[in-house]
Formats: sequence, structure tokens, C-alpha cells
Amino acid sequence: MPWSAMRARRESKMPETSAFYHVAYTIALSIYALYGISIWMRRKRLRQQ
Amino acid sequence: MTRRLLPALAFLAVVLAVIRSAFYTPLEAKQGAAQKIFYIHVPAAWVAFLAFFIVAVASGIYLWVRDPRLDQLAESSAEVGVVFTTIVLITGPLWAKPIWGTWWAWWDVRLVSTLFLWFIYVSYLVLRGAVESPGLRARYSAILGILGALLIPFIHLSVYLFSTMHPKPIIGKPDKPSLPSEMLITFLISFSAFTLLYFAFLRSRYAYAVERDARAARIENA
Repeated sequence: MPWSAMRARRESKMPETSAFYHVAYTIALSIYALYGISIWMRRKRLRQQ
Repeated sequence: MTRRLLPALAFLAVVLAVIRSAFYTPLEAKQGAAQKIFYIHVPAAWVAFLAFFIVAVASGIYLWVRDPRLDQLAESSAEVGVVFTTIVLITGPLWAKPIWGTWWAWWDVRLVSTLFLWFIYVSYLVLRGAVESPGLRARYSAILGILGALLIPFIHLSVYLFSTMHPKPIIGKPDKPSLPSEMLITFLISFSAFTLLYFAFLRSRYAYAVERDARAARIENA
């Protein structure tokens, strides 16, 4: 089914699904950040050995 | 300078994609805010497929020419691919719950085959940690890396071949995308940003693998 846009741009108009959106973005962006840090830490540790 | 340019560009692109999706993209009329998970879920799935495809290509060429750099590339791409598949498997249920009314459906071929793909490449990384001989490790993991990637076309086609809860593609289909242009632009920005992030991760992770193996070789020769 094609998607259609609402006039509202912010989730305040439909709060019932916004928690899922916020949790999904928070988890995904945290995992990306942690993974980036983990590569940097591994390289740093290797150079210090 | 160029070493830091790619991660910096990827970071800025992801920030731009998140801001665009949060503040400058309309809500979908029926799904509301949950539909915005689309802008991280689908690019993550695309990148996971790309990452495992690169594992298979690098592994295939490795078995032919036996160049350790290809093994290091495959190892790096597999690890990054597992991270992106993890994001797919977390954001998918978070989108499914408010829309389908359930987190997960064990009978859904698309969902279960994606989970299976994740297990294959986690096993790939476990296998690499379990075999000590570099030559054997590279050969075994190359075979597993190629076999795992055979699942990708099946996962992509599963929504056409089976009755699934997972919807058919909104964008990657023969006719034109079924979403408004504002959403399409946001998707394309996200798609490019997370693809760039993949290459930034891959480059750093590959550099780590090269440094680690060079160091191991120096210790062995000393």
C-alpha cells in the first residue's frame, strides 16, 4: 500500500508510536557510536603494545 | 588528513540524515512516527547485504589468489556487516510492534532468514577466533563467507515467494517508489549516509586487521 504524508512533521500529533521511533534511533545510533569507538580503541591499544 | 576525512564525512552525513528525518520529513498518515524507523532500518539492511556480498567476493578471490589482504578485507566486512544486521534485527521489531501488534513472527520467512544470516556471520567471526593457523583460518572462513552470502538473494525474494507479514519493497521494485517525494529524499540521504558509514567502518577495521597481522608476523619472526 502506498504511503502518504500527513501535514504534521513532528510526532507530537501521534504520540502513541513515537516512543518506538525514539527507542529505535537511540539504540541504533548508540550501537554505531560504540562500534566506531571499539575499532578506535583496538587500534590504539595495538599501537601502545 | 584523508584518513580522517571519510569518518568525518560519514559522521556529518549521519547527523544530517537524522536531523532531516526528525524535523524535515512528514509523518506517514497511518503509521505515524514509527514509520520513521524506515530511514534507519532499510539502509542498515542494504549495507548488511553489501557487506556480506563484499565478504563473498573477497573470499572467492582469496581462494583463487591466496592474498592475505583479501582475507583481512573479508574479515573486516563481515564484522561491520554483523553490526548492521544487528541494527536491522533490533529496529525491525521496534517498527513491527506498533504496526503489526507483535514484535516478531517465527513463521515469517523474511524475519527468520535474516536472523539466520546474522547467526551465519556471527559463526564466521567465532570460527576465525577458533582456528589458530592463519592459512586454515582464511580458507575455512572464506568458504563459510561465500556460503552465507548465498542466503542474500533468498532473503530479498522471500517476500515475493512466501506469504509474509513483512511488506514488499516500497522503493527497490520495478515500478516507481510508493512514497511521497519528501520521504524519498530523506530515504536517499539516509541510504547514502549509512553507506558512507559502512565504508568508513570498513576502512578503519581493515587498517586494524593489517596492523594486527603485521605485528603478529614481527613477533613470530623475532
